[in-house]
Amino acid sequence: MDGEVLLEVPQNLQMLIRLVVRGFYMIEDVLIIDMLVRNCCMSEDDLCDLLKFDRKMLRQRINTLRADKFIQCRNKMVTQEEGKTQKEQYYFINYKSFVNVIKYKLDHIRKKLEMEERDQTSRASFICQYCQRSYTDLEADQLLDVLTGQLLCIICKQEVQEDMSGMPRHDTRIVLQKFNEQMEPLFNLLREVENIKLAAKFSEPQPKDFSDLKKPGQPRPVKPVNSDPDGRSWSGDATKKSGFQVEGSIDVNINATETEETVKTKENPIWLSEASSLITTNITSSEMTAQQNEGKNAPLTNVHQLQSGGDDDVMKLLQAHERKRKRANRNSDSDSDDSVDEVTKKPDALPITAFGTESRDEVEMEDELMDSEDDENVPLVSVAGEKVPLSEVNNAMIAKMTQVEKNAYMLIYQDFMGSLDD
Amino acid sequence: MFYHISLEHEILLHPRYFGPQLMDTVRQMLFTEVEGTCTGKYGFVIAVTTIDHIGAGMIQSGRGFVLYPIKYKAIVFRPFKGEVLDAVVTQINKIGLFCEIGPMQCFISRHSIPQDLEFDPNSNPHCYKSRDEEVVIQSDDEIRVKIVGTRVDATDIFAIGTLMDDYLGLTS
Repeated sequence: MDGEVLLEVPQNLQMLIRLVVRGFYMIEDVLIIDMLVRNCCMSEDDLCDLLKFDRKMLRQRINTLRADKFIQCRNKMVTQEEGKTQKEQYYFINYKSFVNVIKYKLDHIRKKLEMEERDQTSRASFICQYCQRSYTDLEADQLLDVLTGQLLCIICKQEVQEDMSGMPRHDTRIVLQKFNEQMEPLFNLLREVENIKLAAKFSEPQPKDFSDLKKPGQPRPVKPVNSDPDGRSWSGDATKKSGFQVEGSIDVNINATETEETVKTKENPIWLSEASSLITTNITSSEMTAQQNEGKNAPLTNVHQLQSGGDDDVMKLLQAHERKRKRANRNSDSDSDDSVDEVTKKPDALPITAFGTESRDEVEMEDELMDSEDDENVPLVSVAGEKVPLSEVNNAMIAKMTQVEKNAYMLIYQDFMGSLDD
Repeated sequence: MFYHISLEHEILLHPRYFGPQLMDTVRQMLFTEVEGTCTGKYGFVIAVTTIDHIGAGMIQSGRGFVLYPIKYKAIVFRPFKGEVLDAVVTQINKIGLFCEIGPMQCFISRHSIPQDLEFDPNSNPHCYKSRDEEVVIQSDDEIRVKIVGTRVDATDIFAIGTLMDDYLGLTS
């Protein structure tokens, strides 16, 4: 065995290490060391997973073992999936230093016991109750009165008493003897491993990958909450197997109403985003008109009523429009876009124009276009400035229409027919 | 532990011993003065074995005494801690027992006496005995002790011992 480089840790060395940790350390340390004896080099995460330890506790125990030089640590940079690099700590047993530490500590114990023994022989064993002088066992011959067999103080000649105030009088020699007896297996193993030479791989072992050892119950990526069909995951059934490890952050929204609102926003149909420019333009233009003509009377109220006639009506109309769009009526979209353009082209002119003019008619017409009339089933169209139900429009009326009114009429008619189809 | 070592000594001889028995007297005086003494360095001189050389006597000026330098060999006894020795019990009391290891006195505290041996104050002489009285240690008994500490003075060595170890205790 002398001079031979061993490629695996011999049994007696493993036995020595296991005996030592079992004899002097806690069960957690024993498990950690056992794991490291079995697997040469392990990361903290692997230890944590395999031993099912609390990470904080594991770190505590590892720090203890590291402080005692039983295990050593090496760092390795690991690139994670997100491309981040992270420093991971790997732990291993340096067998050479382990054996040295054992020798050193056993020697310390022996020295301490011997010191205690020496202290005991020189500590005060007798005390004179009168002059308070104390004597050790080594001075007992000076105290002895051969005639009476008593121990007398050499100064006041009074009988001295045993000093029981010192440490408990257990015989340290017995302790030392016990130490030798109990440590004998360790001494034997130390003698056996004295000349062992281990291969270099044990002093700088390569980390071992334990990902394949992990069992299915291990933490897995958490499913996104949206994957729940109902959007509800409060029962925890879907996530209870995933443990507490969540990839990404968890945002807790305390304001529940806000959450509902956001959900509602998500449910809005697609057309809303596209048509929003139309609605807002109409509303703002109408409002601006209303505000600026606030001092004036009847025509304003008409406009204002049309506007305030209801956002709900706007929504209904738009939804009807959306349904129609689903049937791939692209022309209406382009028309409405055109109308939007028309309105947006003249936002500044609107407030100045007088009521009853063509510009005002346009505004009214647009309002009518967006709002439904009192009779919801039959929308009104504007014919030469007069509102006429759609069903009553005839060719003569169409001939009277301006170009803009005619376009609006066509649009309304198509919408109406589309809604009848639904 | 016993050693056989070379030592030196000087004998101061009174003029009345000058005569044909001079050298015998010098030898005799060496034995008398050296044997049984104790030095802190070498321990107890047990016995002079050989006188190697008796130097020329030097007459002391103004008084007539003659000084003989002598080289001799002697057996000395030097106790050490941890040494196991046989002893004779000399004194027993409640705090322990005193014994003699040859010329050296040794004290064994009651805390260093096995707990199965208890002091019996009613017996005469006092003794330490086991409950079944199978083992009784009293004065003049021979015991085997282990030295656990020594106090070395210039002219004396005192030891403390223990009976708490394998094969220690009563031997007789």
